[in-house]
Amino acid sequence: MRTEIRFAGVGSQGTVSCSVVLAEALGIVKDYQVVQTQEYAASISGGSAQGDVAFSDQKIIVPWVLHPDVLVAMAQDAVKQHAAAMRPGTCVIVDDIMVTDVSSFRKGVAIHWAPMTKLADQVGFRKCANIVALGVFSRLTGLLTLEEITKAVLARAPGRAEVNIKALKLGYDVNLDLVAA
Amino acid sequence: MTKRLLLGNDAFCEGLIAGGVRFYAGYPITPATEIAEAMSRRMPEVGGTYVQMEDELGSMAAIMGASATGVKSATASAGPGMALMQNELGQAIAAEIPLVVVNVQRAGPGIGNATRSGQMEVMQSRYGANGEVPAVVLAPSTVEEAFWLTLKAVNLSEMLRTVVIVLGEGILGLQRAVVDLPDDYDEIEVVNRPRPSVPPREFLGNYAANELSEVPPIADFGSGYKSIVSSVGISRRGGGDISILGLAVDDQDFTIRRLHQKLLDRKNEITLFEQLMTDDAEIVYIAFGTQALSAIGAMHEARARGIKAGVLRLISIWPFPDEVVRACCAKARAVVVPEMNLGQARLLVGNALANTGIKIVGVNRVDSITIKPVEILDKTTEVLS
Repeated sequence: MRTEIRFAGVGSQGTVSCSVVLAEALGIVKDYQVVQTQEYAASISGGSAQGDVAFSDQKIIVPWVLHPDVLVAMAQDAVKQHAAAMRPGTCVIVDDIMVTDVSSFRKGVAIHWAPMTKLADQVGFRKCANIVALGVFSRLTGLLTLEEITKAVLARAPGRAEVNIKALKLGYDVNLDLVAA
Repeated sequence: MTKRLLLGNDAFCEGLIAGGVRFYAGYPITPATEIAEAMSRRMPEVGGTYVQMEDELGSMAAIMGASATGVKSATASAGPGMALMQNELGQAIAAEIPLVVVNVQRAGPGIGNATRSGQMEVMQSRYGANGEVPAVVLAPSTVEEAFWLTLKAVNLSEMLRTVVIVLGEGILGLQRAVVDLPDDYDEIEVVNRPRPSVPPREFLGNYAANELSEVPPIADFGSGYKSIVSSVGISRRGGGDISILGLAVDDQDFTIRRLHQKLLDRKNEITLFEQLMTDDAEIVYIAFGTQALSAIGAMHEARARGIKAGVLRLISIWPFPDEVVRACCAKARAVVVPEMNLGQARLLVGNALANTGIKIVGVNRVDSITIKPVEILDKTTEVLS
């Protein structure tokens, strides 16, 4: 079955990197067929940015994400831009300080508030909020174990390994009761 | 073979290397930058040379010179850079120097929209250069195909002694997919350009052809042969130096016609396409590059609804495969051409299907948003009603 994931935010938050790591995890660590695509504005920092992953146990024909099953929104602009694409029954993870208003999502879309930026601050490096997001995502969707996603992070982002492992674990161990819809 | 998650632009780069390219001169431009980036790392690894040029004109001039010494050479760019390259590109085709140029198309005219994708250079690829030169253009749809087709481009450029353009797209260049490509490129079969088989004294020059279909041998600079690569690109039939009086008109006629005929006589070796469920198709989607994937998605959906749809995915665009288009549309009432421009391929399809009575419509986007299968289905319903 085909599943579509979107990480969205503003440039420099690392949403495209998120999608690359996830593609590595699903395609290489696991054994899915995977295509990762990305879109970002010419203004690299601060413009809109998104990283998409489509995966399946069968061959992927259409590579781009049409209707995400899961959206990870790291900024309010991302909610504004992608809310309409989310169908009832899908799942959204929003950053609980970067996003304030989720009224634009349709009824039936499950919203999870996750302290991704807050936890990154706890690590002492806000830029690793995207790695925290991967941890939260893996746990919440049950798609990847901590070990699997860690493997992919280390393969794709070998620098700052210590920080990333810490961030990933904090995200993975997030209190699911707190982020429940 | 090792499975890996590969970036489209890296696939272009690896295809060039697998084909034997060992000289790359380039000027980075979004969304093709990663090709230059990867080549600057990979060329020294494989014993090749990477040169960061001052601009795109310099890039084309440098690879032309390098190829004349016998080293397979390539560059990459996007729309604005391709526009700048047209002078040297035309020169190289006319001078019959094997080269590969990858165009990772961005969207829009002029400087365009750097980070957005488009398919707006179908016609530029063919008609961008002055003076009636032909073109060989290949358009991959997936990351894996980007590798194999770029490799094929190197082989065709050598076999035909011409420039081959690989028409990529931003959305392909910046896409990653799991691919299973060979680890050892030495086992891949590559084609090398025809070189002189006679001793230097008997060699009549790089353009010594007598038949229109001929691809004459070319001598490497510095090989001991007298090797003149003419930017005039027009030579005497049978070879030899042009006299001070200039070229006879029938030699000009012969040379220009030969540039085209050498490709047309090998069209079967150039033409590549994928044909899906066209045998009984009453509606055929004809598309190229990434948008052909939406067409395939739409075809499956249409079939599920009981509509006899088929797809012709054009993998080689130039020389345009008219006869393939006609054959695939034998039972068609209508043809839909989805593309991210205002109808460049549709014009070619229309030409191929002239006087057949088949209705030809387009699904066209120039907002850099990819065409969705549902848009092709909507057009299908409209055109069949």
